[in-house]
Amino acid sequence: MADDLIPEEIGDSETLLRRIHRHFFDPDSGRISSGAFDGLEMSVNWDKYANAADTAAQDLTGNILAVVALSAGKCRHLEQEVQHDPTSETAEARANQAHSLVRGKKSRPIKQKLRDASTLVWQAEFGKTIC
Amino acid sequence: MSNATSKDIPFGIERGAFNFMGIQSFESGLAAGQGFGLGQSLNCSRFRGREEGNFRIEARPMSADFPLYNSETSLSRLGLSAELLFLYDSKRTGLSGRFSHRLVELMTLQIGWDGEKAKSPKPEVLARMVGFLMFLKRETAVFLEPFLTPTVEGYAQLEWHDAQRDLDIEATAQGWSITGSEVRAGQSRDYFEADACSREAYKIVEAYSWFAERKLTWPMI
Repeated sequence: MADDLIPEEIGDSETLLRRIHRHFFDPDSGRISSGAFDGLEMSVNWDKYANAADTAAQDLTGNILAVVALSAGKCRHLEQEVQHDPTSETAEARANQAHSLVRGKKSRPIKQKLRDASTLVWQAEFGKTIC
Repeated sequence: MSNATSKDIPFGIERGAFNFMGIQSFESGLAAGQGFGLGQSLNCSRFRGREEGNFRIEARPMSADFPLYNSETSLSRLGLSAELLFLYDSKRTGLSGRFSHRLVELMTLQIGWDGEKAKSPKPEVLARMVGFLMFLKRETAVFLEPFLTPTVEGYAQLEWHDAQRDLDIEATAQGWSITGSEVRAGQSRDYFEADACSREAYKIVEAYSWFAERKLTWPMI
């Protein structure tokens, strides 16, 4: 967590943005893999400080195909904690005031439910925000 | 560039090799257009979207220990063992060339491939996936090739999707994890899950049949 950035409370009605790596995107069905919603601490951006295009642009690997939106309240409903976790600038990355964590064990159904609760808001093919 | 060799190569196969070989300099019209130059590290992922084309590279291995480019050993340059290269051969597995291609791609993923902390897929897990799919293809009347995806924990997952149902089969340290979901009336979704040890392939086949053969109810596994 950044020393100079103070974490704030994220309300249930707030929107979180998650980058989707190309390995998690099935080009045949157009579906996103539930594997994209994994990890005890899943990094997301709070859309108060970064929009979908910003979120996609933060990735330096060039492998991001999409950005999806999740409601903070929905994440909490799925037994997850949502915490604002702004990060400081490092040698590899800029400071990110939007950085937040969806924290908690993600069982297989939870991963699927997070996937099903997400909405596609940005796709690399078009390079622009969808809605 | 001294010691350089060059060849027109299909990029889809070669991108994993770049990371493995640690190629540090190259010349290419495409590469130059992507903002790379001599002496810069090659981040192969920057070539996203160029998977179907051919382009010319000139590469100089980082040290004498690295193998020089040799078109006759293109798969060997991926640094994969003979056992894993066996998997690549779609004629032997009966799986599509596209799937085999995907398999090789996953084999070459490095730690942090997701831009965060993801582990590389374990080779034995991918081998288990292929073995299971060969079995499934032989044992079932309707074989639908799945989408293969890595997991951030170093395992892999097979997925089948259609408008009504999803089926995920994840290889785990203990065996297999199976998750299904189905859209019900009113667009609500039901979720199902089951575990299977490595000797319980029949459970996975039943779950697969639920998806592929449109069985009415989730199997009691």
